[in-house]
Amino acid sequence: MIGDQTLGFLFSLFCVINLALGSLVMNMNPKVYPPFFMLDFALFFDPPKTVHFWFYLLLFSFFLLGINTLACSLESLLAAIEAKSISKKRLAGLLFHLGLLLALLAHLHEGIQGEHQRYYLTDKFTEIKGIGKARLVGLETLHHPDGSKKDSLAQVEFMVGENQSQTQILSYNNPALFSFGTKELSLLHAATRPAGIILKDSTTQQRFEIAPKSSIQIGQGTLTLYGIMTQGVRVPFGYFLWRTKQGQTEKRLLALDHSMKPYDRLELGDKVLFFDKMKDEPFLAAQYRYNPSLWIMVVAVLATLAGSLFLFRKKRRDNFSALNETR
Amino acid sequence: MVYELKLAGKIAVFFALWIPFAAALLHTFRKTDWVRPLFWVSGVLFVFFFATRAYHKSFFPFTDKVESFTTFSALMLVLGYLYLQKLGRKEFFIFVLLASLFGTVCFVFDDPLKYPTPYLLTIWYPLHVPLSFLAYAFWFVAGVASFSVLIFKKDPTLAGHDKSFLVRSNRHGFNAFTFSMIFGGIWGYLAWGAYFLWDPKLLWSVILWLYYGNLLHIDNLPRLRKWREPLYLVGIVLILITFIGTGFFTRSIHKF
Repeated sequence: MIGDQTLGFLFSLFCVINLALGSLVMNMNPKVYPPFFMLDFALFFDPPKTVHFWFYLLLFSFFLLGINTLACSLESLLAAIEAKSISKKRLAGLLFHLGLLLALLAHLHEGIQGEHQRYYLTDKFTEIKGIGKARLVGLETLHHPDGSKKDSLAQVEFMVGENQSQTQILSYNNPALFSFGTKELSLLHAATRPAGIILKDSTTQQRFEIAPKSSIQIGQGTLTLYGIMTQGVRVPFGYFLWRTKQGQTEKRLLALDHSMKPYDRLELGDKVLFFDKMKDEPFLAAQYRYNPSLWIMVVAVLATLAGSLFLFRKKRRDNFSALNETR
Repeated sequence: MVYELKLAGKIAVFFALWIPFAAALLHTFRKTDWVRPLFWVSGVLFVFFFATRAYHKSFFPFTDKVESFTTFSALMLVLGYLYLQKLGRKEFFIFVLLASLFGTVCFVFDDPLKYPTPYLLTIWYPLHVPLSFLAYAFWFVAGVASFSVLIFKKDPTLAGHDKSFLVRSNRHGFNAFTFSMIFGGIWGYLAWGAYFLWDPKLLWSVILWLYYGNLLHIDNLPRLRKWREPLYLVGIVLILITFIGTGFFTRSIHKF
């Protein structure tokens, strides 16, 4: 019957088995379950799938556990009110159960209402749902003595509300918080990335700047930069398309390294352009998270902490010094 | 100098792990006077090892798998020392042997000393990790005591195997793990906006918390009391899955 401790024990074991099953299913289906995904229930219901059976069962098993725990806790509370006293052990139990119930409620609410989204911020304003606009105005990277990254300090300008500007520094483990912490923008990764290539005319020394997915007119044709490859290659290179006025098109690769002669030049009709330098721009990969149940979880944590403190009994035989009894 | 210090640390931790085993052997042969002094020697060697790691990394020394296994072993040995009179000779020997074996695994792994990644450079990390290992160690105590009841057929009413010993071990472990989860949740919230993710390590942490929290009630349930020792033993398997399984065999962000 609901409120029975044995039933509660069994429900809890059932939840444990269910969670273990879920872990196994998620590990076996990497294409369905991305690594590092949030509590949002959307993944499991949009659309519903057979493979998510463990989750639907988990909702049911936690519901049973929650109801039984609530019944037990109410019974315990009523007994304490009737007796007009409560032992430390019982109080600790009550607080832990209260913490558990609030945590379950918080997770349910967060799963239904929570949102998350990744954004890539540059020096141009990006609209961030729930916050306003944001852009990256400065980036400093700190390094360890061996050159590995220690931290990134990203200066981000936010336009919130009625064009109210505020600047915050984001770094690892140091997010920007809004709406009493329920909205958060946290730094996932900050670095510089190629934003364009600067070419120099060998004859006139004129410089041309070209950005990815854009074109410039050079002499008797059009030069288009399709992309810049820097990761996973020994020498970074730019991938171009040269289209003459006669309609001929040619693919061209340009080594973005001055030591790679003669591959660091493009011969375009009667013009020869050399690689001068790369243009970098700082960018920030950020995670927006909306968690409306944050403060429910805070209360749950406080209740649990209080319960923990009551579990530290002051009886002498509970101290380590009392363990030196011979057997 | 870096290499010499690292080597000195490795030699120190090797002896730190196996001197207690020698002490446990002596204890088995009733030469108990030697046990505590040898444990103190081991403790000093552990401190030296962790100090060399902290010096190299300019941070708390539990940020890679070598340090994780060694920290867990060290905490198990601390509990072994504290529970010396509570555990029987066989249980003490098994417990210390397990602790020594766990730590010795660190000699199997490749051990390039690297600075911690940016996400680890927060106070919440050293608050979170050692507490979880301490919880595992307390639960291992309960598991070994239960093993003794089941396998060696020890009378569970003897001091050291009675309900209060198991309950206390579980309670201390549960408390430590509760704090560990809270600190980990705060860290997760600051790091990526979530105190919970569908990540294997986090999922199995919830499993452990629910499981051992549940076991706190078993002595109030007459129909289930006979399952107490087997369930504490199953708990060891769950700990191994949480600590080692998720760290090596899953896609967890907590992968070693």
